[in-house]
Amino acid sequence: MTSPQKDPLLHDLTTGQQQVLSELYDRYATLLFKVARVILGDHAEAEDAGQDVFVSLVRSRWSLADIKNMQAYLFRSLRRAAGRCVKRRVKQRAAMANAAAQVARPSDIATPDCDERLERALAALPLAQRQVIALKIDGSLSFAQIGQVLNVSINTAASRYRYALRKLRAALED
Amino acid sequence: MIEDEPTELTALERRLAKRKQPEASTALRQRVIEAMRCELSAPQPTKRQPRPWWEFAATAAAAALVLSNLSISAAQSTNYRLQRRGETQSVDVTAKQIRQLLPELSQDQALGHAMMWQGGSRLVPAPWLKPRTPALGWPDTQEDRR
Repeated sequence: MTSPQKDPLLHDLTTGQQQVLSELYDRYATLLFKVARVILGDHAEAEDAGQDVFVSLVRSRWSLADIKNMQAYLFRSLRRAAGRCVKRRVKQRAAMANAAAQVARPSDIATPDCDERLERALAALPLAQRQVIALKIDGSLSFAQIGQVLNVSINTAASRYRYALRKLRAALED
Repeated sequence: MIEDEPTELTALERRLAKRKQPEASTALRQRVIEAMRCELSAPQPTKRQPRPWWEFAATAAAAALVLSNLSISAAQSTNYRLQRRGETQSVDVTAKQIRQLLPELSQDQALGHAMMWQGGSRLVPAPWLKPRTPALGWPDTQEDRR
């Protein structure tokens, strides 16, 4: 993420080459989707957020000349897309007079193959802590990189991570 | 001290890292790539042309007229806010220019412009106003003025 090399895919994208689209998707989609799913706690919304990120990337291709690191850019874009999803969800829930609902929906997360208890504990974390867990564990970013993506200091990223682990441990011990 | 790259993961971190998660579907791959392809085929957007400075001066002056009773400084600060929102781009309206424009603006026009501005979209004269000249109620040339 700190590499000064410009991503060659970016060059192909700005020159409008079609084959770069599937390359971009195959390289980043799994990672983005995993992180989005943890942040949003909803499979369909995670897919929508991922699509938003890719479409925005193509739409903004004319102004991406200075992007040094595609992954960092995509994670920041994902954070914004996830934020929009959360806002939309809150609005929808308010309209349904269900304002007290939790941001994440554990029932949407758990699948028969998943560690349901762990997923529920993750979903119960505050959004800020869930983002750090998603980026650290599922996105394999360092705290410095997480700080860049979330616009927080490295100390804040690290402490959110510690608090999140502490809460998860407590939830799993109950 | 920040433990940025822990050498040893705790049991909980290992459990988190190893948990199974559903994969993104192949249908999603097709959907996203198709959406990207559509976006890629869209033409490069043309650069937005900056609107004439007097449009913004009119708005700023109008807002100032309505909100702060002919205060030049309020007009300037309104215009400054417009600039920060990216609406005036390279346009720089001076207090002198605003002062020159204020006498040209009727109270109705000021109110109309301010209402349109507060509506938040394009700056056009309110339809119920009868402009004195074709463009936003402002004279383009000395000839038009006459």
